[in-house]
Amino acid sequence: MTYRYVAGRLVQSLVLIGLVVSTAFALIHVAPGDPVTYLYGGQAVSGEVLAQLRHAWGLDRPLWVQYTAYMGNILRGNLGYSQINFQPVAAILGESLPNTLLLMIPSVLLAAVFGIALGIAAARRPGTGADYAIGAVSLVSYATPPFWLSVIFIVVFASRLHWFPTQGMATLGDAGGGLARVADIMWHMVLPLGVLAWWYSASFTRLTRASVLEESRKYYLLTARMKGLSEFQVFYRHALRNAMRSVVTVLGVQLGTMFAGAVMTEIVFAWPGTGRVIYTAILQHDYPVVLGFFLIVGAAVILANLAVDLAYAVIDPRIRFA
Amino acid sequence: MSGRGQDEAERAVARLTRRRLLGSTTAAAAGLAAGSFAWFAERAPAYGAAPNVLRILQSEPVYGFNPVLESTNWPETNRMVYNGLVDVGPSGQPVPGVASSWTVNENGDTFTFKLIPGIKFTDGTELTSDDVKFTYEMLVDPKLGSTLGSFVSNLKNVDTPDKYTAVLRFDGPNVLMMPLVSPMGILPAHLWSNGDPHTNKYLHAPVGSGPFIVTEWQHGDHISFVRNPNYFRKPKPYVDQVFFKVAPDASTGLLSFLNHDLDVVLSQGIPGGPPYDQMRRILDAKPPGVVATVFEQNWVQNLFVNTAKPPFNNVKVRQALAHAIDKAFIVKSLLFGFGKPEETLVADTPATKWAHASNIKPYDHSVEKANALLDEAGFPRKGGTRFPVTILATEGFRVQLSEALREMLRTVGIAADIKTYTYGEYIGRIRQQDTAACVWTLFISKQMDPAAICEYVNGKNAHVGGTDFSAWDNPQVTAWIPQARATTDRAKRAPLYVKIQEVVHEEVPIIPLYTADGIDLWYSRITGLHSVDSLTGTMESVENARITG
Repeated sequence: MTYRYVAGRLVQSLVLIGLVVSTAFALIHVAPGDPVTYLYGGQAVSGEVLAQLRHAWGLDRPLWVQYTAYMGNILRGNLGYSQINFQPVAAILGESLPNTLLLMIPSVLLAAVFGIALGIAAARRPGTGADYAIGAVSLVSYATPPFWLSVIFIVVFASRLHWFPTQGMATLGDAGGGLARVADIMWHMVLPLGVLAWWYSASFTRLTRASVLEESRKYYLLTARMKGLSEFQVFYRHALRNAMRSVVTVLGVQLGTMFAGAVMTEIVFAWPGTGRVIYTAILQHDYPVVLGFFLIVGAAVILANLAVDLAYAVIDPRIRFA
Repeated sequence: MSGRGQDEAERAVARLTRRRLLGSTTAAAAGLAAGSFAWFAERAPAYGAAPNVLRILQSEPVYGFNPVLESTNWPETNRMVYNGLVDVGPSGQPVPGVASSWTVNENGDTFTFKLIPGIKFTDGTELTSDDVKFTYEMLVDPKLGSTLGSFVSNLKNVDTPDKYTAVLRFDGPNVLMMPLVSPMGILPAHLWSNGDPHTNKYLHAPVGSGPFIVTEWQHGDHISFVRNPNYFRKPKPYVDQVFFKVAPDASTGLLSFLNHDLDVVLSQGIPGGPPYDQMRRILDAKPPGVVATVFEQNWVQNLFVNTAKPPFNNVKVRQALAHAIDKAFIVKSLLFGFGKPEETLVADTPATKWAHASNIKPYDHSVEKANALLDEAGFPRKGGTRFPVTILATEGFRVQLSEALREMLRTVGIAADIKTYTYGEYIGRIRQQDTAACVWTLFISKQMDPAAICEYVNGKNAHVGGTDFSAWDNPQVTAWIPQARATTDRAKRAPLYVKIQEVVHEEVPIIPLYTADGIDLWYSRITGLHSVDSLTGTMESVENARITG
């Protein structure tokens, strides 16, 4: 049944992605303004010239014509062309997406490792000083806006201590190659990665603690203890494994959404990723870029959810797909 | 699916234990990490560069290298790779560019440029009058809607009597060609004449006659230029490599500069102006080795209202508004002193000083006078408030400015509500004149001639969608505007502009607020840069920059 289930879910996912893009298309066109107005509206350009440009860019066609043309292009694998950036959308996203993933994947994974570890530590000693301390730290982490933390990190670690560069992904104009380049990129990554991992870890800590405590109250653990299993086995083989289902769910969603990048962190650290691209594209009403981005992020989130659902079966043998 | 297939699937899942899953996931992650680092290492900026490198902050990336299309964003950056017919001298006057000399006929409708022979584009072809003809014809192609093109829209044709002579003929005089448009870069016709210029590959790998060649462009991160060894002004340029480093947050960009990660910060690379508070702190602290140049720019922040709809259809209300606004406070507290209050439509800035009406008595900041005018206009205070207005704003500096305006309006009994939009929505609403009882601000840049700003008070543009955003139509002013453009003789033009300014000052369709200074920073080991506000700006002097010590 598994193949049929996966195939069914894939079809559902495709439909969902189509819906995401259609909704984005509708929303972006409902919003007042257009790229021509953005670019030329404030300039001493006559209304007639603006109308000509709208015509040349196809923006004066009925919305349904624009929609069918766009969806047709998508089905042919063409994400369109950004008239503002003078580049194909695929090239824009193709250039920025790897940069975002380079930053986001380690951030989320690092956050998961530290967050889960702290969550376990807190859940092992509920109600103690350690538990409260971890709770307080995670609450503060979650409540700290990443853009603010980014600026603090830059001021402290880059401007004052000179441990790390202020911004960017690599040093400009320096000598070096091979491993030195890799080291240089990693050196540039430390601060933004630190900010993001710090922020993401909080939700993993809180969730792990809550899930583990929830499981700890269940009768099967009493049974396990009655069988004579050690506390270690009871906790790590039984309670934690069951608690991980909800953590994996969150991890999956985080992995999907990270394609969107972290807008403010990318801007403050001048990290050339998708977060910044989409932020600018929305401000510019750069329709093809915004829609292409929604398509990619939508697909990533939907597929990550599918992967999480499939992973449940591995984590929890009671789950079978039908 | 067959029963056998199903069994295989079940067995596959059964074989997939947690340990195996974890193991394979870890291995895959490690492989992915190693692979991606190798890939990024390959794409990292060009290393092994000579020490003779200049790194310049750009807080927004340029879109593409075509001065005709790029005129809305960063026209200055095009000067790195292209040369205009003329350059702009230190005091704003035209000096030879690819043209060694030029003449303008008495009517101001025929411009003859003599080109320097032997100038080569970086692909080895010679820059000739055909390229000038092609570039200027592209500029006025209505399908492309170039904003620069709108200043020379009466261009009739370009004659090329020989390889090194280009004659631009206009349908009537053109006063904006020389001060504003003539520094625009000349494109190589043979690379741009086919297809849609918006999709031309040379937008991202330009071929020009300029001092530098683009070697690498990682969008959103940096552009790398190297020196053009065949530049026609040998031995310029003096630096081997220039980076435009994109830092979208100007504050972080300034920190990078202070950290010596960047060498130069140019105002023109920061849209809307640099963070003035931070600049003030830097200038006050006088960091060692930093050269700061504060210079006048030809742009003015203006406040607009819709004069066709209540309450701003009443001139007394508009005059009251002018009295209510404390321009000196704005300059002191929001610009941190980097600017000066402006009182007239034609600003007292370097390029338009000759037409500025210095005789006009400003509307002094006076709550009493504003209150008296509002009472006279028939808007008494009811429970402390006379009438509500909406201040239209966008993100960034305009929010601070709007908050200051709200407080100033409150003191005279006008209750203002701030509505913030994205810039596209904001300007769309203004263009559509959906602005009854609204107040908004726009800075109008590159005012190299008074004719440009006058299009914002020209009654012919007062229709919905036009550039007279305040919908103000004064027949006298509308008649004077074309008269003032009908000659290049400044002695004849200036009195007309003074008359226009007097009427605008009296009727207040626009309230000029202030001009803001440009602030350029670089380290003292760099010499040869010169700060100026023009189409090519400070970027024009990068070819003169030398790095010493």
